[in-house]
Formats: sequence, C-alpha cells, structure tokens
Amino acid sequence: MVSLSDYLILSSVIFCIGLVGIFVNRTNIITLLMCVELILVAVNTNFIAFSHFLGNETGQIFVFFILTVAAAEVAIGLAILTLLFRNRGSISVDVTNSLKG
Amino acid sequence: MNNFIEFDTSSLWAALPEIFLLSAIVVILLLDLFLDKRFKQVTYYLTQLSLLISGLLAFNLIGHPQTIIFSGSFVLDNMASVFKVFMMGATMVAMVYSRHYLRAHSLFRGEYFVLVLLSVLGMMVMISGYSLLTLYLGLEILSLSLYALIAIARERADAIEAALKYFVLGAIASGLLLYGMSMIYGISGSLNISDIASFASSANLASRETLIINFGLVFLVIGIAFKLGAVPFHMWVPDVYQGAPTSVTLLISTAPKIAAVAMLVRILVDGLGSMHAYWSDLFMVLSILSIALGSVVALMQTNIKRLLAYSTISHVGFIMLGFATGTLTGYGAATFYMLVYVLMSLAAFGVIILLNKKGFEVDQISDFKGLSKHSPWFALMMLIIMLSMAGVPPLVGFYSKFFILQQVISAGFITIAVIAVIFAVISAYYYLQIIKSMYFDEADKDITIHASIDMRLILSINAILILAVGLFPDFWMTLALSLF
Amino acid sequence: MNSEQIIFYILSFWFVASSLAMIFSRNAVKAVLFLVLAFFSAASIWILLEAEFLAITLILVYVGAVMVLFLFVIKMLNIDKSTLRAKFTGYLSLGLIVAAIIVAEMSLVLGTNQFGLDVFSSPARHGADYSNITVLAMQLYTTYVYPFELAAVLLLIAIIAAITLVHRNETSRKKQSISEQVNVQAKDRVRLVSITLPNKEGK
Repeated sequence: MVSLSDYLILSSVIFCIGLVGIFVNRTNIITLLMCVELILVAVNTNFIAFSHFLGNETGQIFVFFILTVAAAEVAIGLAILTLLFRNRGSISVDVTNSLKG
Repeated sequence: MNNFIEFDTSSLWAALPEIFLLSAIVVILLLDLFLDKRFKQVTYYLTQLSLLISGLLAFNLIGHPQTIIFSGSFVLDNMASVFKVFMMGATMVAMVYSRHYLRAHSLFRGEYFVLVLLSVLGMMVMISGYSLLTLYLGLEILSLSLYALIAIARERADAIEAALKYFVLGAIASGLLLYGMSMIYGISGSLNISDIASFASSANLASRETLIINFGLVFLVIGIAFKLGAVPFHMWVPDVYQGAPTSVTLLISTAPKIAAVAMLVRILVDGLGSMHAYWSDLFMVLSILSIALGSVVALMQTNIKRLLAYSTISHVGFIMLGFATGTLTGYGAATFYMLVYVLMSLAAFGVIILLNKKGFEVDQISDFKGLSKHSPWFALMMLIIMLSMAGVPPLVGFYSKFFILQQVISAGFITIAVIAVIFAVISAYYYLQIIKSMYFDEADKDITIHASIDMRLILSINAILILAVGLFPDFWMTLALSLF
Repeated sequence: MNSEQIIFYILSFWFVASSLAMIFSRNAVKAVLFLVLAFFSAASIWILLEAEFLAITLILVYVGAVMVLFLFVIKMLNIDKSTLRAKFTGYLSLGLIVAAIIVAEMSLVLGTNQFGLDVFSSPARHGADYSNITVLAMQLYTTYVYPFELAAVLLLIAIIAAITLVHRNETSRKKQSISEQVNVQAKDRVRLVSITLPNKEGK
C-alpha cells in the first residue's frame, strides 16, 4: 500500500524543484511563473493526500479554491508581463536585485 | 442529508460592512462605465462615501459580542471592528492624498478606485477571517488588486517592473504560506482557527504532532514575514516602494499592514498561541535582523521612497518584536505600534505627494531642499513626522517604541532591547538628514505647492494627530490592549 | 509491491522527471509542454487519491486554459531566443545541493514515523456509487458558501485588472458611427476642385 508519507515526500520533492527553478531562472519571468504553478501543484497534492487519509473533504475544497486563485493570478501576471514587453521590448527582469544602493 | 446547514439571515448582520462594500463596488464599477469623462470626480466621491458608510457600519459593531458565522469561517469581535475602522480611515485619508497625485500625473481612472475598494474588501476579509481558507482568499484579493494598482501606470517601465517583482515574490510567499497551511490542516484535520486552537492547546499532544505543527509553523512564519516585508524576506519592499506610483506606495505602506497584522494575530495568536514558545524565537531573529538592516541600509539612500521603504522594514521589526514577547501586553504594544506606524506613514507619504505637481515626480531627498522657505507650515509638519518616526519624545513614535521595549525588557530579553535601541538611534540620522535638507539647504528648483484645500487640511490634521496622540497616548494604548 | 504502488512510483517518476525538465529547459514552449506532462502525472496521482473532480479540473482548467494562455503569450510576445537562452544565474550547483539537503530534511519530518501506514492507515476505497463531485458540491454551496463568494470577487478582480492593464484606448480601434454615415452628404465627401490643365506643349 502507498502510505501518506510517500505522497507527502513526493510533493515536498516537487515543492523543492519549484523553489530551485525560481532560484536558477531568476531573469526568465515565464519560467518563473511556471515554477510558481509547480509549487502550487505540490501544495495541492499535499492537501488532497491529507484529505484522502483523514477522510474529510475539506482539503479538496481548499484545492478547489487554490486552483481558482491560481488561474486568476496567472491572468494578472501575464497581463503585467505583456505590459512590460510593450514598454521594454523584452521580458527579462531580475526579481531579486534589491541591493542597488 | 438535510441537516447540513442552519442558515439564519439575521446572522448576516455581523458581515454588514463587507456586504455593503461589495454591493457598492459593483454599483461604482457599473456607474463608472457609463460616466462621461467630465464627471469622473463622481467615482472618487462615491468611493469615499462607500468607505465612510462601510467604516461607520464597522464602527457600529464595536462592542458586539464575539460572533462566528459562515460555518466558522468569519469572526466578528472587537479586534475585527476596531481594525476595520482604522483600515477604512487610513484608506480614506490615502484616497484624499492620492487624488492630488493622480490628477498631477494623469492617472485618474475609474478602475483605480474600484481596485482600491476591492483591496479594502480583501483586507476586511483578512481581518475577519477565522479559517485558513478565508484568510488565504482575503490575502489574495488584496494582493491581486495591489499588483494591478501598481501596474496601472502603464507607460512607466519602472512601475511595471515593480508590479512584476511584487507579483512573483508575492506568489512565492503565498506558496510557502499554503504549504504551511497544508501541514496544519493535515495534523489538526480542520481549517477553522478555533478547531486548530483547541487541537494545538490540548494537553495530550503526541511529540509527532508537535513536530508537524512546528514544521508547518516555519512555513507559516516565512509566509507572513514575506507579506510583512521582514528581513530576510524583504527583497520586494524597496523596489516596489520606489517603482510604484507614489499614491499606490502610500496605500501599500499603510492599510495592508493592518490586515497583515490581523492575519498574524488570527493564525499565530488565536490559532497557535499555545505554540508561541516555538514561533517567538523565529520572530525574535527576524525582528532584530529587520531593525538592523532597515536602519543601516537606509543611511545610504538618496531616493526618499526607497528610504521610507527601509524605514518600514525597521518599523516592521519593532512590530514583530512586540509579538515575539509572547505576552498579551506585548501583543497590545505591537498593535499600538502598528496603528502609530500607519498614522506616521500616511503623513510622510502625504507630504511627498503634496509636493508633486504636473509633470514633476518627487522622489529624491534633494527635492525637499528649501521647503522651510517656501512653505514653513508643511516643513514643520514634515519635521514632526520625521522626529516621530525617529522616536523623539513627546511625539507618538517615541511612545510606541517605548511600550515595545518595555514589554521586551519585562519579558527578560534585555540584550535584544539594547540592540534595538542602538539601531533606533542610528536610524535617527537619516530622518535628521531630511530635516537638514528642508531647513538648511537652498532650493534648487521651484517647489511651490499646488494642492487643494482638502488635501492641505487633512494632511495638517494627520500630522498634528501625531503630536496630539503623543501627548495623550493613554486612550489609544488602552484601546490596543483591550483587543487581546 | 502491489499494483497500486507500481502505478504510484511510475507516475511519481514522470512527475519529478518532467518537473526537472521544465525548470532546466531553455525553450519556453518546451518548458510549457513539460509542465503539461507534470500536470497530467499530478492529475493521475490525484485520481489514485480519489479526488476525481479535482483531477479532471486540473486537466481542463490548467492544461486546457492556463497553459494555453502561457503558450499564447509566449507566441504573441515573440520572445527572442536570446532572452530565453539567458544563462542560469550562477550558483546552480549550490542551489541543487541546498535543495537536496532540504528534501532530505523534509523527508525525515514527513517520513513513516509521522505519516506511515501504522499512523494513518489507508482508508477503504469508496464503492462504485460514490460520487466525488456530489460530495464536493454539497459542501461548496453550504458550508463554504462564503469562500465561494470570495472566489467570485477574485475572478472579478482578474477581469477588471486584465482589461484595465492591457486594453488599449479606443482611438486605436476602428468604429462605425451609424448616425454620421446616414447624415453624410455629398459635399462632405466629394470636393470639386477646378484646375487648369496644362496644354500639350507643357507651357
């Protein structure tokens, strides 16, 4: 039988891959957005696994809302990205360069 | 399956401010669509009116006994009502200031006000959220509106870039927060704060369960620290404060801090208060780092919005320090500090906006040169604000710092208090730099003020309040303490 | 190993492999397609966990709409290869090592001591008459009616924000004005100009 811990470890691996992806793709906004999606899928897997093993549907309801939020978020994120492209002609931004004096 | 809900319309009274505001948003959104360009001011006045009515409805509910509706996902208590009233007030003042800025930079659009109202709705949901689900949804309603508000200056590449940074880092923070929430749900089996609280405080908690709660707690604290902008999760704060249109920076630096503190209280105090021994250590580290970095890096700034961003980071450090004490009076002191910070931040950005005029964007410290000659009154106001932020008695900024440090010392962390005081003294230097620039430097450009009378009046009242509350802090302190 | 375990490990392998391929892919379109593969594996794993409705939603909403939106934006912006080929910003090996350590530590916390079968026994499978969507709907429209309304507000924000940000002013669009077309008269459209023709010699 597959235990709850197997599912949780799987989602923790995916979660960390998402974080690494953000770390190594700091200037590539499209990939960054996809890494965020990966993190959310990992979290969703967590919720669904807990929901299954606890025998209550609350976790699945939460996932339902996370999916809604993520879809709305992507719409706004891509809109901002389009604006950036119109203004600058490229979409490469380093999101972590904070220490410019 | 017919016993799953008992629904009583009278229970909806507890959510009246939210319900009214949402209806008002829909009306304003539709009305704005059909308004002629000449009457765009109507949208502004309707926005102020709906904020006022919603605030009054919330005020009316102060003193209402604690009510939990919508199957435990919404709570009305004194803290919720008081926070909502302050949040509405802060937003109304921010809107008065914003109008001047929006006119000066031709950003005056109906959607701006609708998005502000939606972000206010999100903050109200956060303040009243009593389950992890509603807290998360409120946070996202707030964040999504703010991303759009920053990017509303469509022709300014720096604003778009700031929006994108805020967006990406905010999404990562949400992901971390959600991971923490999933752990808390997994171990307690519920999303409701009251269930989580009774689970976490039960005496026979297995060591396995404590371990998982702590594991989730780390992610929750990181997520909250991200949203508050505490070091080392502060990367977005300076860039967003600098890049966003000043009216949006003003909004971001005030009302959402109230909502973020409310979320912190709901999750960490109401929900996991019995675990404070575990999270207060994390908070202690984060707050000292924030105070230190915020004070030191601000010394090197020439851009006043960026400077105020670092000053915010150090103020957030003080707020978290109050929560780190783990005592009820400590929480009260932190709440008091937060309200004081909002008052000071409103006024500081208000003065920056005041100096804006058509085609002239004020964002350098040097733009304040010679202000005392041109407008001695507003130079005096800025003097009060800066001295209060630096923590000079008898201004309110002094008392808020004093109360926090008092609680830290009485909780036994004397070294931490000493470090905080040292950095607070260092931070006084950059506030004095602005004062020096206003009073002792000659103006090198035209800095006459073109602002409407309502803006001047509200800004003056705002700054004088800093002095007045400083002289009589007891009432506000008692109010803040009564919330816990 | 029983069949459930075999299926789980195959799906997990695809999930992890396609996620890794996604973050290291230097071609945005390929990255999107790898993410689609990851979502399919995730959806299959969710079906193992008896969350059929969400699994199908993930495919329909995520793969069908969100990922297509990604592809649409990538193609619309015509992102040139050089920005995508931008080097991975340093510290790649360091990042991987740190991530491996974090995964190892998280696995200790999430291991069988805390979440093994002896602690959380595998629940009995539902029968053929069980409807996941009915159960969720019952909860969603009763207990969770308040979050449901909030989700509606979120979608409203997404609409307002996307339109406000990206929509260009009306001046760039060509519009018909019926009343002007009807009221138009010959003298508005045709202007008679008298010119003197040059004579053949060009004088």
